[in-house]
Amino acid sequence: MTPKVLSLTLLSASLAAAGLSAASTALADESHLPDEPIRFVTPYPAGGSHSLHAGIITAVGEEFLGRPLISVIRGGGGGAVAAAEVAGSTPDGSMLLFGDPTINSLRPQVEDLPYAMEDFVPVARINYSAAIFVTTPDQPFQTIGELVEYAADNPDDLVYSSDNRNGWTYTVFEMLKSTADVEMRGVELGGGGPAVTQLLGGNTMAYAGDASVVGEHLEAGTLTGLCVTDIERSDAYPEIPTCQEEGYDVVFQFWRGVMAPAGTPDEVIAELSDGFERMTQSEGFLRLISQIGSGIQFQGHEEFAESLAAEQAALREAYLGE
Amino acid sequence: MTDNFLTLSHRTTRIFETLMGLGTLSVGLVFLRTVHATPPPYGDPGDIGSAAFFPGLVALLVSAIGLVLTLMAWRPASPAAMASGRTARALVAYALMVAVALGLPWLGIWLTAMLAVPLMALLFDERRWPVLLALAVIPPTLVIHLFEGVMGIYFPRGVLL
Amino acid sequence: MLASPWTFLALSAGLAGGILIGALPGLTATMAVAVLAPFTFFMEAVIGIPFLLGIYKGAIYGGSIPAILVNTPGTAAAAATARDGYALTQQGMSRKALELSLFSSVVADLISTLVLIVVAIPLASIAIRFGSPEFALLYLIALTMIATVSGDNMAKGLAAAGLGLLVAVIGLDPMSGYQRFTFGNTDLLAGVSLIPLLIGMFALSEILMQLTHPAERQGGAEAIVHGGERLRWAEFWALRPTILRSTSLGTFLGSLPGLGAEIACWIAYGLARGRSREPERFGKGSLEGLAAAESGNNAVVPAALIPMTVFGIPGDTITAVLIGALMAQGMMPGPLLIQQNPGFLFGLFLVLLATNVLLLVFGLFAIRWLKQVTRIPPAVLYPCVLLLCLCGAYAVNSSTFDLLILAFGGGLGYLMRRTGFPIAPLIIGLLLGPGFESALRQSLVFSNGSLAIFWSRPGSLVLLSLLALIIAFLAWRGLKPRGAASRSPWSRRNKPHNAQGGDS
Repeated sequence: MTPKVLSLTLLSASLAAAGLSAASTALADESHLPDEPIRFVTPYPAGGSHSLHAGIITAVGEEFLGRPLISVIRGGGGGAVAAAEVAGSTPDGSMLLFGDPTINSLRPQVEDLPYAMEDFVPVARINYSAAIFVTTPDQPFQTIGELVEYAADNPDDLVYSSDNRNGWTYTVFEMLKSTADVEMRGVELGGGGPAVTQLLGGNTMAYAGDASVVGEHLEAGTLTGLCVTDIERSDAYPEIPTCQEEGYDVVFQFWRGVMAPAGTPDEVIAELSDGFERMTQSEGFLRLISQIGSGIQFQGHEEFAESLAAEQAALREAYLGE
Repeated sequence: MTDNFLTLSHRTTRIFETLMGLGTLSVGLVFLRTVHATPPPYGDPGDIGSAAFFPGLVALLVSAIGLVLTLMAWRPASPAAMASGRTARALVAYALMVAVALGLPWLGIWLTAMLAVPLMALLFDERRWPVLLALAVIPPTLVIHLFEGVMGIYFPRGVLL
Repeated sequence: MLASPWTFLALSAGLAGGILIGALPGLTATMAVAVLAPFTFFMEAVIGIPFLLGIYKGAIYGGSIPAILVNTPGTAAAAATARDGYALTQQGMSRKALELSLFSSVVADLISTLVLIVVAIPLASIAIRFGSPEFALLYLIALTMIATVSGDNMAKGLAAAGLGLLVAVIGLDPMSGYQRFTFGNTDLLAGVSLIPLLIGMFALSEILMQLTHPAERQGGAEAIVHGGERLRWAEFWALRPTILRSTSLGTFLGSLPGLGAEIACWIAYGLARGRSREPERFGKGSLEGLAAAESGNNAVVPAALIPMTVFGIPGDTITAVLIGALMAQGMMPGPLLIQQNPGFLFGLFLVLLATNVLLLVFGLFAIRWLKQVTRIPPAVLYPCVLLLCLCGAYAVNSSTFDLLILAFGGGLGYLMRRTGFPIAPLIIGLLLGPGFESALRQSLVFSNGSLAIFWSRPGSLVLLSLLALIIAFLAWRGLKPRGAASRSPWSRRNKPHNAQGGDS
């Protein structure tokens, strides 16, 4: 409301990060990064949660990485186009992919894509969210157990909203179907918005999605939460059990993380990982991230590599194992 | 607005109509062949729910219309004549457009823009060199700064510069 | 919320910036809002949100400006505007076209905003019952509009539409995961990028056409120096049935989550032609056609906020971005906002109304300068258009492959225009094909493969009957000899005039 606020906004976003840890001026001297801006590639079209996160990261990143970050928004093929482009770029840290499990763990294993899972090395995990299974209050099932029972009694009768083939929602439902050994029909609607619309309109019976999509409907009571695909209950919805608690081993953490093309030197990966770590600890970054209703569950490159390998193995087993 | 243009001869028009018909037909056939290749790549073209049904149907339709167009070009009543014009010049301009599209990743945005704008003006019969020089400098500077500064779009710099 | 001068300043700045961005080919409203949304996180809600809404509305309106002036739709929704708008410019009436487009946009927007304020909740609860079967039928109705824009040669129109539909199926199929017709090309996984192709087909082919047939403007320059005469009030007043009809249609379609302005502008255009007394003028500079297209696509904008404010569901990609920005301000749109923060919602509505008034002022101001564009000599104008197209096509995806699509579109557009193939059917096929296909296939998953779903639901039954009526009407009209067509049952209200000769 004040002129100060307005002028602040008109300046570069990096101003917001000013006054934060004036970290590592030494960094520039002994940097292994090439002397050019880093292209930070978002593999989905503008407007999703990925591009919101990327907008914040590229706005404040320069201070912590010692190089300006350029946000490149490159949607298409459910992320495959951007992934293929980054995989084929010079592996020196000048081009990074803002990856996620479907791009980096699942689809390269089950689809014939122009890049392989091994084309990427993990740099840093920024955060993750878990999917919440939901239904409407007028459905005959109100817990995940009842849903599975209903599906077992009426095979192929239960229609649920899905996003894309091998997308997030698609995957968690496949996991549920395989662990509970039931048959349900998913309608691929292309995204969270239409998926929730069809559920609310009574055209489908269940859905699983991010808290940012279903959260408000849970609070308003227009949707009922069944279970969360995490290892522990979420702070925002403590009354919704985890799927494991309910007896269905469905755990899927949809992480957002930075990936570099394979062949990037180790010291560059380490330097980038450190830079992102300092960024996720800075007050200004945290404030911005909390403003878009998100949080930080940071993992450095070594820890992230372990959890990623575990996830890739688990998905390989779930999809191709039997 | 086409009233006062010179027209092509009926024979040439007929050749063009035939070629367009055959072109449409061949596009339809390429898609149709892909859909019906063995093994069927996108599912069963006969099943409405599969990924092959809709492309298969449209490809069939396009092939049929291509055939109709080809035949129509040879019906006894001569087709409405097409307008003629400075086609050669347009083709030169199109070659320039293709060259610009292909060359931008290597030449970079600045060099491409500063060459393409005055060259296009030359094709529009602009011969005054101060104007051409101004066109080479002012529009690229304005436009590139607008896109890069305001919208944060980063164009390729090219390998030469 | 309106009390603060900073709100107005932010709104005006957003509106002006939005008009500029929308007018640049390739830079869409969605992109502008998405790129600038993170900056509003640093602002207070009363500044950030009006700023974004200003950009949004400005960019939607801005798309019609290059469509009218240089036959280059700034956004996909302005493709129908280019048909009659550019024809008017060629006749030296660019000012009239720009003014009509502005007035129709503002009127449509105003009515649609009032609908949003007054009946958002009941309308939304009807709209949300619409599932994939109804969407499939709506798309089919829109596809029948191909017949109305095919011109003299129906076979060529159908061929163009078919080619558009084929181009649209290229890429990764989201339902099955198949890579269709990519011919092993990685860049084609994402499909043929719509905006670069559109820019190529309209703008590059226009440059080539100008080279082929240099306009004989120099001779009759005097007539167009000032952009021609202004729009007379009587002319505008006579268009009110068209505008009202297109507005109600656009409002309805906009309130259905997932259907955008692209579909509304073509249905509105086709409908206006069907009811027109002079359908033969459509595509050759019809004021009715321009008004229908512009009011149709602008009415969608406030209506797309209906599902957002009532259910928190994005009506289209751009409202999805807006929801993100609102969330960042701690305002989660949806059922709770109405209960918990009615003041903010009320303020939002007021801002929307204020935007309309400001848009009118800004638009009138802009037209004073824009009509001068026709004075720029072609040797300066078209090279600059080429440069803007090049930058715009690249900007959409930061992809050099899109530049090849742009060039391909230019060549195809030129070839089609020289050989008498209409471009509009191809655009309709391209825009609506994918939506139709996925709605059709989703419906069949819902019904487990039974086609009965298209008549067993009340909504789809109504739409199916409507579709049958439209096809019957088009067929009946097509069979009648030319000239008698204007005496159609649909325009019975105009019968007295027709009796004296409708073609005058």
